[in-house]
Amino acid sequence: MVTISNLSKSYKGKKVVDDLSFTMKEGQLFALLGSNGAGKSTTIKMILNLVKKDEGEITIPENTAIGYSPETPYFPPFLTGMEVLSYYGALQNISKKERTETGKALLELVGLENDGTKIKFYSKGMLQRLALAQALLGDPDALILDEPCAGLDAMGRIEMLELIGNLKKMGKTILMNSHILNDMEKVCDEGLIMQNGKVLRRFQKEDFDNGTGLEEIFIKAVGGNRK
Amino acid sequence: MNTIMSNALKERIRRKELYIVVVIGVLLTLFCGSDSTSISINGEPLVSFRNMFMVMHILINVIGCILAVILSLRTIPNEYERHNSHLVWVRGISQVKYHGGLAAANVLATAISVGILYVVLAGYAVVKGHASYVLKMFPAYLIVVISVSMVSLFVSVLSICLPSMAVGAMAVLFAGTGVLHGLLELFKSTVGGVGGACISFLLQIILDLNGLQKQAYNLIMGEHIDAHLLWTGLLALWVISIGLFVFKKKEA
Repeated sequence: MVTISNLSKSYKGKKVVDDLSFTMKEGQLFALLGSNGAGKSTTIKMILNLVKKDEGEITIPENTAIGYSPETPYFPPFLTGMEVLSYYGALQNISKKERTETGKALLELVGLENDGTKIKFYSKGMLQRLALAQALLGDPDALILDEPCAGLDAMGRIEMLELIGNLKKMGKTILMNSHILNDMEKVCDEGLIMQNGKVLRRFQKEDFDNGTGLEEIFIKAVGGNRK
Repeated sequence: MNTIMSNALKERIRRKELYIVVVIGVLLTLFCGSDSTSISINGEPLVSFRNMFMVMHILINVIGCILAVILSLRTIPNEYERHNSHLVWVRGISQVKYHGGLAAANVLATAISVGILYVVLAGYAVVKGHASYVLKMFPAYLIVVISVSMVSLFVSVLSICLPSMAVGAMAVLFAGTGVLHGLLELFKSTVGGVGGACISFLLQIILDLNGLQKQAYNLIMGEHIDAHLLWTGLLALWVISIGLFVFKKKEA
């Protein structure tokens, strides 16, 4: 569905993404793993055209809608969850009637109450859920989730992963970036491990079947390349 | 653009700074309008309605310019620092629409605050038995809005591409020169050399915001209005707004 070929990006002469290539297959969850500064977020931002690429190709089929959930979502604290969805829906030119209907359905889908609670009273987990809900506005074909479990407690992470699993079942193609390996192992179909902008190792769900966990794959890949 | 503007406007209106400055402005305006207070210039008391009204009018323009800077300085940078811009850019909203909506919210928030001060001024006119001025204050308000909008738009446009400290300094220079235009004109003739040249340059490139305010005052008082200054003001607003099309962020 989305193909990345030989993608590179430098900041002040330092390569943060170096010759990266991968393909997100339809209906699958592709994981981008790596330590801080590995180049995961920059890759996501280049796909979304929030950051300009230096080299390479990003091929997204025409009329493919992509929803994005940021790592640290900020929403105006004086709005309610429904109002946030209505705001972003309006930016997508969704009609008022549809925004109301979709907004209610999305809040229910992500497990938030449409009870008029202001964002300022939302917990971190509720904010992440709302971020996911706004990414789902307009029923996108693909989702890009930047650290959706960041800052969540154990229960919050379990619920978020369940939600992401459900979205995959609904046929969404997902690109997800996380440091939490156990979480990724539960939901991903394939992925890659990055370090200093380079791909260290590619893996598939089948790799876990022989008893090798993602943590082990990660340690082997990163451990052998630590400077 | 309307969606972005209305949301940003809601946020501007909720800012504490806005209320603090408006309350200070209202208090100052009422203080100036009080009969028991005698402000004097060269020993002459300024308690006549006409003089007091003029002082209050000047004060509203100055406070409006300060509010314009306060309300506009951080709007666009905050959007990028909070990464709100990510969620807007990914929806295919152009930078012109995005920044335009935010700048329009800044201008509107400033205009609303000046409107509050103008209502106080209208109240003063009514209390002093000059209710007939109130109708004329509507078009006069629009003239003052041109003056404060210019400051707000200038700050908004610069904040797209410059750090807040630099924008703040330039805003103070812009608004300061604008509201003190008349005084600086006088001062210029007494200062020679580089200082004088700098003042002359600033006076040439920055519009006389106090002059605009004076046209609004003249309109209320039924005196002659310099239409040229009003047209220049509108033209300057248009020129500054071109910056919204010119200045762009490279990354969200």
